[in-house]
Amino acid sequence: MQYEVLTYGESAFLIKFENEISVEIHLQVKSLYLQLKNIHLVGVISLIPAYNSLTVIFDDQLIDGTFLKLFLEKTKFKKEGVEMAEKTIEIPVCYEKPYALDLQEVSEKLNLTPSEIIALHTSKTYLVYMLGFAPGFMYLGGLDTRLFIPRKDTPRLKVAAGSVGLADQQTGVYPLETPGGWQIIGKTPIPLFSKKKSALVSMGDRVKFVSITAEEYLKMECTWQ
Amino acid sequence: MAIEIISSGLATTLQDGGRFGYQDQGIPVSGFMDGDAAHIANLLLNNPPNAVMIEMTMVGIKFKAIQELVIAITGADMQPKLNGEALTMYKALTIPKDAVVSFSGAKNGVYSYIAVLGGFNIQDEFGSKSTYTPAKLGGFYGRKLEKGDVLPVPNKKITQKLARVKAIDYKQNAQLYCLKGPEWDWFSEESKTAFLETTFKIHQHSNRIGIRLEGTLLKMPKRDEIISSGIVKGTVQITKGGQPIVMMADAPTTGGYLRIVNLTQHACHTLAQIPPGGTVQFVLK
Repeated sequence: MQYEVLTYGESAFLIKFENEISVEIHLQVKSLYLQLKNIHLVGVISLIPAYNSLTVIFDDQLIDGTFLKLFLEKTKFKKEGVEMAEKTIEIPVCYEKPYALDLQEVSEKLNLTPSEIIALHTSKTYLVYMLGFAPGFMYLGGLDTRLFIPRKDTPRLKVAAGSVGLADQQTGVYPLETPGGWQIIGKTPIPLFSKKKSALVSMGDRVKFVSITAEEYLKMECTWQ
Repeated sequence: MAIEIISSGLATTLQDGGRFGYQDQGIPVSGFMDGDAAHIANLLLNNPPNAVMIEMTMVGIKFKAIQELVIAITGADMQPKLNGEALTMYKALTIPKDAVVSFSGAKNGVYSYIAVLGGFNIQDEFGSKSTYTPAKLGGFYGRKLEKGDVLPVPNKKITQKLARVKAIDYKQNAQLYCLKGPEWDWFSEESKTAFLETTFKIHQHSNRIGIRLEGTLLKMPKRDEIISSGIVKGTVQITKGGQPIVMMADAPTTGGYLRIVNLTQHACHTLAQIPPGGTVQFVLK
């Protein structure tokens, strides 16, 4: 595996891979992340896997930074072959009113009918490159190029949790209610972040959106609450 | 044992040493903004250094001791009073049953801490008691403290009161020690010099997520953003407009701006206590 270990403040290192977003680099980050996670090195208190980097946070009372840096640089980590548990998670999405706030606008801008948009959005299986930005927010790869659309000119002050959106070359789900500028094409009744349950998705998993009716949405919403 | 909140202050939350180990799910670390002041409060009570306590912002609370309890107050000077009489900070104090402890606005600093003997009796969520309000996580129902809240305190007797320690002196300006960040070399010599020679002012839109700085806008390199990557407390990001933002306790776990330097842990704590309008300079360690 090719990477460099950079000092990242007094209590972290940044492991940097090649400067690109690709499945190949993603698999290397994932492999290193899982190996470090499984070692449970005393003093390593958190890992943040991203597209092409892995942040290693440590407690300098428990582990010496110089030692940890050497360990990260010199250990022959496996490029692959690590147990790569990979699940595909189906996320139900209602693309109907009142959830699909911008579907009409997207339809006009992309010159596609709403049903074409839904078909394109549900046809792909997306790779979860990483989680970040907010609890449970997935950075997904694999959006159909025909669904590339710029963010809204004026961001909404409030976007409801569960809203499914498009922005530039990305699609994603808002895990919490936040301000946001994504084009909202639907909503999922399933909480992407929950205090009671373990994380619904992890980096490296795959996600598929499944279209549901407004009636099914309401039923599911009741079960999940 | 318990205390009851009579008035809530500006932004008062329960915090501990932080929620480590869940950043791969996008959950921010949170925790004390000024770990130095918080650790002293716990030390004075012989609590573990990261035990949960009350963190007050700019304006303090008023609370009633439902039973006698032992507390320590550190951090910003919010002029604490016990039934109207001035209280000593940086010292273990016995608060009698039914007494009212009140705080006003910060005379210096930003964050003030109230630790109780044994820490507050609340549940961990994801391994920490720190409040992270956007996800309603940790603390007291995941939110800021409000009038009427009753916080349970363990029934514990203090074995030995430590001597009073010297109060930290908070200033309106500070030098912040830092280490070169991952994208330091992306900036031109001119930008690096400007960054180290500018006196930046703390912007009023600063909070537990990040502290915005006003001053010279840095000239950005051609590549003015990165592929989203991990963020740790003390990371100084430069926005595309050339403005520095120091990522603090509630910062998102990842971001895409260039990371010019990282503050030392102590510098993070120093910065947390400088109010809006105060100034800082960066010094490479």
